[in-house]
Amino acid sequence: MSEAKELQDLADKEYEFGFVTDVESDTIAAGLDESTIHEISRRKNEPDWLLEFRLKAYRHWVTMEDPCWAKVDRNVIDYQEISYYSAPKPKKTLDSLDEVDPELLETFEKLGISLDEQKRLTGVAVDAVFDSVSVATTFSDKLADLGIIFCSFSEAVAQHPELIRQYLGSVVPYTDNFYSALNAAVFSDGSFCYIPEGVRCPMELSTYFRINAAGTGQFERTLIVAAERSTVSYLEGCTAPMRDENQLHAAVVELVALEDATIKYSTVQNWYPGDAEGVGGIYNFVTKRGLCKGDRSKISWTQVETGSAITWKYPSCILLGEESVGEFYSVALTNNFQQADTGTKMIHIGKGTTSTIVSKGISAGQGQNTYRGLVDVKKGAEGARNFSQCDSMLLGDRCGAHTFPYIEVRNPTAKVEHEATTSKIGEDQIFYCNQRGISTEDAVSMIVNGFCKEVFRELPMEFAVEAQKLLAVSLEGSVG
Amino acid sequence: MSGKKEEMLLDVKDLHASVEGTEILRGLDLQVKPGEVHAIMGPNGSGKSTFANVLSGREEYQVDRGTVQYRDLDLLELSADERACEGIFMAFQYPVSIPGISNAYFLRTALNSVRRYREESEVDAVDFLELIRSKTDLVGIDEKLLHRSVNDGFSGGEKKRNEILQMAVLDPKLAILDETDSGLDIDALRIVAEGVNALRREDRAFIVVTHYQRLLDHIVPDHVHVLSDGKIVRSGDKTLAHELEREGYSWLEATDASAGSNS
Amino acid sequence: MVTEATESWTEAVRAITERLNESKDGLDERRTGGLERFQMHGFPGRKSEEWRYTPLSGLVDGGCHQSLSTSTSVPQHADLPLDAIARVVLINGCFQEQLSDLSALGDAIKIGSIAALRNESNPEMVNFLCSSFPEDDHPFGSLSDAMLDDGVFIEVSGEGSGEPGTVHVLHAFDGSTGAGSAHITGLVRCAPGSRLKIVEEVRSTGEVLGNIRWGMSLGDDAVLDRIRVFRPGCDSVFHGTRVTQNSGSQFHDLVTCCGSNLIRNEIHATHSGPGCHVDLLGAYVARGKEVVDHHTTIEHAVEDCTSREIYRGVLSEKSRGVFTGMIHVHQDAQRTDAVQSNDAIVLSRDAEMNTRPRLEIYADDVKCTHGATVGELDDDALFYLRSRGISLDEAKKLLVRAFTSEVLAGMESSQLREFIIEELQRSIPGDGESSS
Repeated sequence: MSEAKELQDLADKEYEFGFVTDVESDTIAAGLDESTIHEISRRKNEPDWLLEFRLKAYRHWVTMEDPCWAKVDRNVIDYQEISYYSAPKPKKTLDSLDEVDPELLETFEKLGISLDEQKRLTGVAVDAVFDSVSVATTFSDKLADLGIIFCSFSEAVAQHPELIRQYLGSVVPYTDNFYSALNAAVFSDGSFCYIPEGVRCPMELSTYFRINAAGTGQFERTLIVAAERSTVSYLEGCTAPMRDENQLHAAVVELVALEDATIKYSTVQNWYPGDAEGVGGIYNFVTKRGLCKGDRSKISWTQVETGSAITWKYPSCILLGEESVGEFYSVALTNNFQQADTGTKMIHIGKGTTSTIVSKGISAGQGQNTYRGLVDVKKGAEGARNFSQCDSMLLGDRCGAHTFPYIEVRNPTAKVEHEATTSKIGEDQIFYCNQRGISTEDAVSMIVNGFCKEVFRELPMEFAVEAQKLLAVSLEGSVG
Repeated sequence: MSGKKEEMLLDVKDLHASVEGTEILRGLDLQVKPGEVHAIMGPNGSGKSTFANVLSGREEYQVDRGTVQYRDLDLLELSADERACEGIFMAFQYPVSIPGISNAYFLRTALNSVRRYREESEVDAVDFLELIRSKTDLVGIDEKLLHRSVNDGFSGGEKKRNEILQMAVLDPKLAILDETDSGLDIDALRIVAEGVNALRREDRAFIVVTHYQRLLDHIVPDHVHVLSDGKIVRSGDKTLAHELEREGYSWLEATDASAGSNS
Repeated sequence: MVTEATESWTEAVRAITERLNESKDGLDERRTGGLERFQMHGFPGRKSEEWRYTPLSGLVDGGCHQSLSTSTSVPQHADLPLDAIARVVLINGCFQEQLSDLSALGDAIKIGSIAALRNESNPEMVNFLCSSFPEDDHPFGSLSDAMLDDGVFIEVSGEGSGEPGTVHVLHAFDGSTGAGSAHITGLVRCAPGSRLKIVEEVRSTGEVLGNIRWGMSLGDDAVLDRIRVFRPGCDSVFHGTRVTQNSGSQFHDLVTCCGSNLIRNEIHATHSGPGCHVDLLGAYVARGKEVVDHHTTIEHAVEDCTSREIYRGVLSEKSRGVFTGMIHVHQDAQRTDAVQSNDAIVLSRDAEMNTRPRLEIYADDVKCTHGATVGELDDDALFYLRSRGISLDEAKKLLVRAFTSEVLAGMESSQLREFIIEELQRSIPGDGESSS
């Protein structure tokens, strides 16, 4: 049936971001032991307390085992084959964008995030992380006027050590899991953001991650702290060159929302997924967790996952504050041999906490798509509410869609609801569209788009556009 | 327009079609000129809906024999969306729902697909809204319906009206109404029929497939055909419909044997 | 996980395995294999994904590693209102011919004991038994193998059909003279086109582990109805069923549990021919520190099969409910239609519910839905009833009745249904302590 072919064509869109930037990089030799960590810390001129943190994490990591519980097949990672630090040369403190290597700027332009351009555009402040190092942050000055700190992690360590010491590892301790321990030991850079009391951040903050050098892993850390009554919306995008090897991306993201604060964290993840035969591609093993620390705080995760050979991530919310709110909206598309095992954990601790989970999985080719989620209502979570909706769509008969929710309830006043459905695109739906003059390809795009709509509408506008492009569907909705 | 040789819009000859190996149409002939309204009636299982689906190009329906000429085109060579772009519109008996896609967006996508095919410029959102407003009154459709997902949670009447609205927007040359009256109460039926009547034009033909005569009180046909066992066994004017109403379809069995010689 | 406790079990089991292997019933390899597997894997710890919410430590450390001594005493309960054509009584794992009644059986149904294999070799039966159960690391499966001694087989031929009769199987575990365990293997073979109904009842007294497993095979178009009733006051029961369904066959299963310390109910249904249907229904209540754990797997291996699964439970005091329901749709299982729902009402702040509905889908033209809810009783409904003069406790019972009776609605015998609903209702504490 031609429909199947068109579905395949649609899903087969080639990876557009597969170029390699030709900048000289300063990469340390592959391998990991305590001396590597000393070396990373030395190159970054870090204070002793941070080196201590890294070493503690490393010593814990060596006692842990590489986890194998998620529903994925993968190659064994040799952690001694990875280089844990790669920075574009020349490495010196940058005062302005003008000092950034023009090759690099070009790369970001190709990615559609020309940093130069960003200066003129209103709305998005960008921190760009290239391989392991943050290369440029725009708008820092403007944000500083409001008391907002938005800078690279290294800079924050130097400028705001008290904040980093207070919050680093407070949501994702290095003992949390194998990859968070590894990240804590070797993390190179990332973004830090602090929104002071009562401030509503006037623009979207954004980080663009790019893995460039071969044989490296990327281990960035993001820490966002929203003080009382503040609001921030944060975006994250990711791309990588096409390479035959599996590169490891093991990031940690920690969010802290104090009383009445709101953090919205959106990701469009488009790491290189590997080729049609399943060779190469990024292993995206990321720990993301938000702590709703204050009463009535809110953390909302939205993600569109289309890239990576393997994605393991469960952006989670610890709902500690009373009446705090956690949200998770996700679209994950897997094609060819991609595997995604993603979902969330909503830990209800405080009274009157609520959470919403909307997950849309689309499987094509031989892609395997798994939703794995936990809703955990603790004893004290009086009146907690959760609603979860997990829908899967299968395009073709060689792919798989799996749903593994875990629901644990320890409070009788809680209400937890979970629904899941699996569907394919109905032939009658396609025919109906055909009969109205719409080609099968357009019809499929439209229906997939409709399927994901609940998630897309959670994204900031510009990201929504990108996300829809990524799913090769035309934009819906400007009518009316 | 109608010169000496009157132009034919649709010319169906000896059409045989089957579904999953079961032959349903067994030599159907029909000629439709622009501006005409043809009613196709017949008992359940006579092949009415199959005929409508074959004309609109549904893949599960296999044409085994015969030809269908539409204007100067071999209709059977065209895919469903090409037929739609060429001006064939089918109002479905059971319109499907498409969750997540607003009715307005769907219609604009359809309209622009058709316009692109005809090499006309696409309609932007603002113009489209204007166009559609002018049509909503025609079928008495609440504008709110435009912003809901296509047919999702619509009542039976809303679905049928929505079909007529789409017809009005897509501006077809040949409209096929497949059992449009099923599931409608008398008021909804009247509104739908009024919509259709308002869309009657000299250059547009209708094929109205129906089991009952009551729709034909409102949409008065030029020709009435009785379909039985995959063939047209009787044709006449609108009085034939009344006759059928009085006598039902049982006479068909009695005359079936002689039907072949009857032309 | 091999612990000290496992050691004491292994020693006890080994002695029995060796003794039983002296009987020439053709099952010695199976026993030895079971012993070895148990010795190697032992009981799973809390880290095991399959046993994550089900604490076995109380059972493992208790006195159940001994075998229950022979008994002819059946724990007292009101009899189920049944109109059975046959009654099979197993006490502490032994088929009790004197207490059973097979006199009214026609030719279509054959019933016998597994222990009979000692006197009468039956390679076909041995073969069926061995192919029914996998040799894996399942602790209770390994124990069943190692201690393979007695049980029951039921065979139905397709002839002489008409209204199928009900076979009543009563498992009694009598631990009044000392703690211990009993292991029972049941086999059911339904010939093509045959029909059978089984009502299985479990009673226990004292500290016991009842370890029951069934291997079932349904021929083409066979229909098997099974109702299981776990009576109040049972101690620990593991109950596992593996059923293979051929084309067009139907398996209707309904389980009700009220008030057992620990029940683990495992069902593994495989559809191996097209057009099969399986119903898995369950209604349960738990109080005190009871644990009720339902663990189901439906393998949709071929096309055009359907399944319907509904489990509903009410948890009060410090009880715990667990539901793990896997629906596995294989690549060739097009047009599968699978519906699963799992709802729980939690009446007390110390009770807990853990739910894991799981879908694993490899075919694209399928309809699979699952839904799960956990919550308390509807306040509006409670208020409505109370405003009509019904006490809070009564109102709760009424709502619980409404909640569970939907699962039982399809039961043929209204007498049995009423009986069970009453028993479920009685197992809900009514002293107001669990009010929310």
